[in-house]
Amino acid sequence: MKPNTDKEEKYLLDVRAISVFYEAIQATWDVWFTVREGSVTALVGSNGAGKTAIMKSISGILPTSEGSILFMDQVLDRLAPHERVERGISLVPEGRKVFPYLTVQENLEIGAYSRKARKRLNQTMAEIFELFPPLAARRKQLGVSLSGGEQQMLAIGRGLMSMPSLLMLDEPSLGLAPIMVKLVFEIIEKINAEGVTILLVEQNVRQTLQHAETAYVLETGRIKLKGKGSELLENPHIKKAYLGL
Amino acid sequence: MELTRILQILSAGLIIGGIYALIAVGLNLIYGTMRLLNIAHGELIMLGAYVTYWLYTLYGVSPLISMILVSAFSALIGLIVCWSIFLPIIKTSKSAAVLESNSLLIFFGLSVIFSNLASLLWTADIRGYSYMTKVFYILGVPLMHNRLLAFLVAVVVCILSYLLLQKTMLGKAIRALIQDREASQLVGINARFIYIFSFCLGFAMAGLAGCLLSMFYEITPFMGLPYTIVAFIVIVLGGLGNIFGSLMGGFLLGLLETIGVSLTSPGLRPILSYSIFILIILVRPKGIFGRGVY
Repeated sequence: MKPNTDKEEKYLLDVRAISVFYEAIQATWDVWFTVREGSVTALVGSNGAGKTAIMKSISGILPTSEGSILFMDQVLDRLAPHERVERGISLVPEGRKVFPYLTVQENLEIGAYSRKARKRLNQTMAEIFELFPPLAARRKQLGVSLSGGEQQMLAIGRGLMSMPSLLMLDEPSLGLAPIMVKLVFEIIEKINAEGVTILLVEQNVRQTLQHAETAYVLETGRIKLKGKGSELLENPHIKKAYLGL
Repeated sequence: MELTRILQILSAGLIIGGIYALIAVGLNLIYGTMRLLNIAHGELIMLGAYVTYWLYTLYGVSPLISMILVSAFSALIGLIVCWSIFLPIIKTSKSAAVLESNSLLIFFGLSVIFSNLASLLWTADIRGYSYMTKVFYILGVPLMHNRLLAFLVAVVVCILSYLLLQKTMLGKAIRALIQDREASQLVGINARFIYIFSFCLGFAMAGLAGCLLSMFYEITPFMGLPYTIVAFIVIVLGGLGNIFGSLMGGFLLGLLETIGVSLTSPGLRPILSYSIFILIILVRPKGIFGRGVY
C-alpha cells in the first residue's frame, strides 16, 4: 500500500517511510502512517512485526535510518528523547518499565520532569490519583511492590504526567488478567475523551480494533493494511490471521 | 578492655569510615548512572591531596579553603574527561559489554598517567604538612582537630548528597536513570546531562576526600590505589548502584577494619578488607542492602 496523499486532513503525527534497525538487524521497512489529532489510532500485528521498534523510534530511543517523522508539522529526526517529551510525545513502554525502587509518588513526580510539566506537577498528580484510585492508596509504596495491573496504571499515569498531546501505549494489555485488560481499554477511552490523542500498539487485535478509529496492520516490518477499526474487524485476512475465525 | 580504649577504636573507625563513605559514594554515582567503573578514582584523591599540599605550603592557602577549590578543580577534571573521552565512546560503543571493557582500559590508562605525571612533576618523595594538630579530649578519648574536621566534612557532604538524591528532582532523575536508563529518557530526563553531572560530582567527592586525607596522612604519587580498592569493596558491600548502601558500607568497613586491626596488627588491614570483600561476594553478592534502598 502507498501513503495516502489526502492533503486536507491535519495530522498530529506523520510517519513517513521510516526504516528502523535494532543494532544491525532491520526491524521495519518504509513504514508510513498518520495519527489524526484527537483520535485513537492503532498499530496491530503479531509478535516481532516491528511495532515496538516503531514506538521507540518515534520517542527517539532508536534512530531511524531512513524516512522522517513529523510531529505537529515539525521534523523530529534529530531530537533527543527528552526533547520529544518536551514537545508533547509520551511513550508508555512495553513491559511498563516502572522505576522499581522509586515510590509510586516519586514515579509520578519524575514523569513530570520536563520543564513545562513541572509547573503543574501537583494538579496533574491529583488528576492521576483521581483516574487511578488504587495508586493513591499506595503512593508511599515502591514500584516493585505493585501488582502487574497496578504497575500498568502507574506506567500510564507516569506517561500522562508530562502532559502529552500524543500518548503512545506499547502493549498495555500484555500479561494482564481479562478484567484488567477491560479496565485498561476503558481508561484509554477516558484519556482520549480528555483530548489526548492516542497511538495504541497491541497484539490483542480484536479489542484494539473495537476501540480504534483508524488502524494499521504491520506484518514483518511493513504496513500491510489500513482501515477503520470496525472495517478491519470484518476483513477476511484479519479474521483468518488474527481473530482465529 | 577499658572503655576509653573502646571509644578510641570506635572514633578512629568512624573517622576513616566517613572518608571511605565519601570516596565510595563518588565512585558509585558514576558506576550507577553510566555503568563505568572508575579505576582512576584513587588518583583523583591523590591529586586532591597534592593540590591541597602545594596550596598550603607554597601560598599558605588554608586547607579549609582548599576543600572548595579542590572540589571545583576535580569537578573540572571530571567535566573534561567525561566530555572529551566518555561521551564520545558511549556514543560509538556498539554494546554495553564493549563500552565496559573499553572504559576499564581508559580509566586504567588515566590512573597510570595521573600517578606518573605526579611522580614526574613532584617526585616520589613522601610529603605531608601539619594543620590543626591540636589534641582535645571527648570522654577521655584524645582526638586531633584535623581528624574531627575531616569526619564532620565527610559526614555533612554524605548527608547532603543523600538529601540531593532523595529530595530533589535532579536526585530523583539520577536514581531513575540508575534504575532504568530507557524509561528515564522516556519521562524526559536528559541522560547526557545526568552523566556529566554525576561524573563531576563523583570526581569532586574524590578530590575532597584527598584534601581531607592530606591533613593527616602522607602524600605520595601512588597513594591512590588502596583507596580505589577500598571504594570497590564498599560499593560491593553496599550494593552496586545503591548510593545509600555505599554510605552505610563506608562506615561499616571503616569500623570493621579499625576494630580488626586493633585486635591483630596493622599489617593485616588489607587481608581483613579483602576477606570482607570475598565474604560479601560469596554470601550476599547483591550487597548487604541488596538493590532495595536506592
